[in-house]
Amino acid sequence: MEGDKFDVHMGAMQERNSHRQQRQLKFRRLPGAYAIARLGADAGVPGWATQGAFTSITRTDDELSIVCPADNVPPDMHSPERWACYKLEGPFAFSQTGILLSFIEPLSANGIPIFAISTYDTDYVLVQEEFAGVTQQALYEAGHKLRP
Amino acid sequence: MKAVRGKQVPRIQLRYRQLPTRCAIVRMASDASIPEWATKGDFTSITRTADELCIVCPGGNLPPEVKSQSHWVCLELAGPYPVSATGIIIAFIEPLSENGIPVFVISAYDRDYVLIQEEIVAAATALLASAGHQLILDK
Repeated sequence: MEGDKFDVHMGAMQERNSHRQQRQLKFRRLPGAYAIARLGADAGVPGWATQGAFTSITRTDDELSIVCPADNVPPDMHSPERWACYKLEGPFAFSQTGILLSFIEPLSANGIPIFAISTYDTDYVLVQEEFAGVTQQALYEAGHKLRP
Repeated sequence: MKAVRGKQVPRIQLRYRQLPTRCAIVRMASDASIPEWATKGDFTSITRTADELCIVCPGGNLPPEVKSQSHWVCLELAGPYPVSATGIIIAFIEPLSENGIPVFVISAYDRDYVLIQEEIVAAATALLASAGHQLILDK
């Protein structure tokens, strides 16, 4: 009895102390490698930028930023890094807060640079391919599950 | 590495500005073609996935038959930062997410953008100020 009470008490304390809700998310790695390329703000969107399973094109007053499969990028484009693209398994409502935070926290804690793209349904997070191993390990340790 | 996990890591303090345009976030079918109105304006972002075509563009661009739940304020983090920079997005969204403020994040090559629903932008700005982030008027 005494032990049970103690456990309950400890559980309540841990809950209070754990400041933020720990979420366990499911995620997938999209097949292949991705590129992140930069063009001038007034550049047209190249045909190669819009082909493939995942593409994202952002135009600001400084740049045209392109995310697309690495193999689509022509050789004359400077885009040396290859990125792994992870998809959080949603969909999530906008009112569900803390999803992206709980996913990137273990990555930031391990010094892994990230590139994030939210969509209406979910979030995508890209990391450079050489960090894919440590990324997946850090996410696993944080309780997130890689789906095949 | 583990010893410096989580909240013990000092967060970076950032400067950011608020873009003048209010944005809409619209979902279309994954095989929809990109509408003309989606690509006009000072900030647009179009993401196609296996599930959806997600359009972020000025709210004023939307034709009457297209609905957007909210208007979003676009916060531009000062940059540019090298792609190897770490801890930028987390430093910015942590005070928001921990206080129940939804964030929509778009990284671009040079900078990161964080969209916040217009009706809670004052609360968001106050939380960002408490975390040491500074709202600036221009780059």
